[in-house]
Amino acid sequence: MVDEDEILKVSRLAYLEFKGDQQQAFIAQFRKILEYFAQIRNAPTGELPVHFSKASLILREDIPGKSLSPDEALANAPRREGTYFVAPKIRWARDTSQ
Amino acid sequence: MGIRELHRQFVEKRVSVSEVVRGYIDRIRKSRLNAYITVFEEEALECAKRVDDKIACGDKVGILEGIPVAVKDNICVKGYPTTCGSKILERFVPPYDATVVERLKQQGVIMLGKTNMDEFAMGSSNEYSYFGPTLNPIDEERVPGGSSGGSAAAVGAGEALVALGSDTGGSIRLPAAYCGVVGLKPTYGRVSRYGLVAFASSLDQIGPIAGEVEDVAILLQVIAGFDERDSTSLDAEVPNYLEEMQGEVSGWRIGLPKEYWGEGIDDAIKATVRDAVREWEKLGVRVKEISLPHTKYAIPTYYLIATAEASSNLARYDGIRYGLSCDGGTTQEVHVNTRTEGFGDEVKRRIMLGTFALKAGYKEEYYLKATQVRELIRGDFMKAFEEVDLMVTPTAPVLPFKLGERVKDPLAMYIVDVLTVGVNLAGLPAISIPYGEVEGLPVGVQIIGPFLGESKILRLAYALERVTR
Repeated sequence: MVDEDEILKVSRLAYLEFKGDQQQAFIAQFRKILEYFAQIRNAPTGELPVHFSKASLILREDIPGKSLSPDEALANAPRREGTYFVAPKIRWARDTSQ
Repeated sequence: MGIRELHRQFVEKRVSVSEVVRGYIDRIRKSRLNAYITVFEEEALECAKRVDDKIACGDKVGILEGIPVAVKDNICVKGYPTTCGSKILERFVPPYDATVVERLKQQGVIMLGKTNMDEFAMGSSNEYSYFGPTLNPIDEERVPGGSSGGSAAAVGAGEALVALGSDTGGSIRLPAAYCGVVGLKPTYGRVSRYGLVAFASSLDQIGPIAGEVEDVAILLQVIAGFDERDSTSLDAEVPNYLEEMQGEVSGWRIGLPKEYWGEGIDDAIKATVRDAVREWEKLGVRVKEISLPHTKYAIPTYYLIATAEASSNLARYDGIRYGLSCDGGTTQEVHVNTRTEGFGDEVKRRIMLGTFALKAGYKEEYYLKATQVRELIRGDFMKAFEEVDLMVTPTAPVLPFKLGERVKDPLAMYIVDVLTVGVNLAGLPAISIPYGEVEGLPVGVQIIGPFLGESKILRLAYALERVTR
């Protein structure tokens, strides 16, 4: 069974926070779902390759085309300054557990 | 009434486009179903008037001109909110049209508005919408199915003639079955995903929902086809679906995969779908039992792959570039506070499951194993299609359930998708058509086709519709 600390580590990786009773309820559900999912261990996959798209990387020709104006591209920005998105200073909290 | 009949009435001036659109908007405004998140009242009426003016001048109008269409709220329509049923995108207004919207607009349809859905298309009942659940038009105490529940309910209730939905694991077919309408999930790559808000990119596909098979074919004809803006779009010729669905089905071989007719599937649903199969047999179709032996792994495989892709796709909601933004002293705090406040419980659960499945130490056991099992499931379908032309199954294992019945038990909700997810894992097309009823509730019959087999699916569906209407 996946322990509580491991689940909380996953929540930090996903940039999500769970608190109090909500956290306990979530952990219980999470474990139940994982237990059910674990049945795929029994699937007889042998040496099958992992499935990825058969398509090769598809890029269009490098020709300038019509694109959004800076104003259109920034229209939904919560905070902007000129043609820039505004974000707080990038200062990560130290977390040695991940 | 279908598209063809409404078009005839417009052209013969028996009814005006404005009257029809006004009628739809009045029904939407008075409805208790909560099928729409946004209604484009002003623009819809303006567009209707333009089509009426054209008809008054004696100009030729196309078959889709003036036809009222609803669009699921994860498909971008320029200038209107695309919320995805989520608080985090409540105020997001896309600056461009999705390819499918662009193509429908070019045909002159009237967009009525954006329909309600499970948040980020993650759900099977429409109860996970931030904007409240949509009710089933046949029984308002029951769910309409999800995640395109708003689109299916709108068509079922006469709040739109036709609609667009999206299907990642059954999200067009299940609500179509629960609302007594027709819903088609095309082959992966047949319809452009450009402008569809991504949930699970290797599984998502846009498709039509309508009251009749012919209307589904008419919409598919317009939205199908190559699009250079979607790198997974198929560069394959689009057949004339309307012509190809007219032919005979005599001599066709239908497979009934035994795993889709076994334990856990409501007996009354199975009996009803078997009746539909008998109707096809009367038309000369040959029926045989087949096997898709890895079906039992479909739900965990689907949910591991879909959540892994979702955890990556939804990483873009960071509170910086668009969507909800909550305060925080650092960038990291802005990310965490925004996502914790903006996502609902089911979306958080799936992001967590996906992050776990991709995490070092678990990735091989969960995500990579699931991609291998996906190959087994795909192989089952490929092998079976060497023996049969199409497959027939029930669309849903249970009848439309009561609101609140499954919402607190995620696994019970996931299992509702047991008959639909395999098709997405294999990238195949499938339709749900209504046939009969049980306890006054509609039953959906699912027809699964081979790769790019939409024409065959439509022909078989149309053959049944002609017999039963």
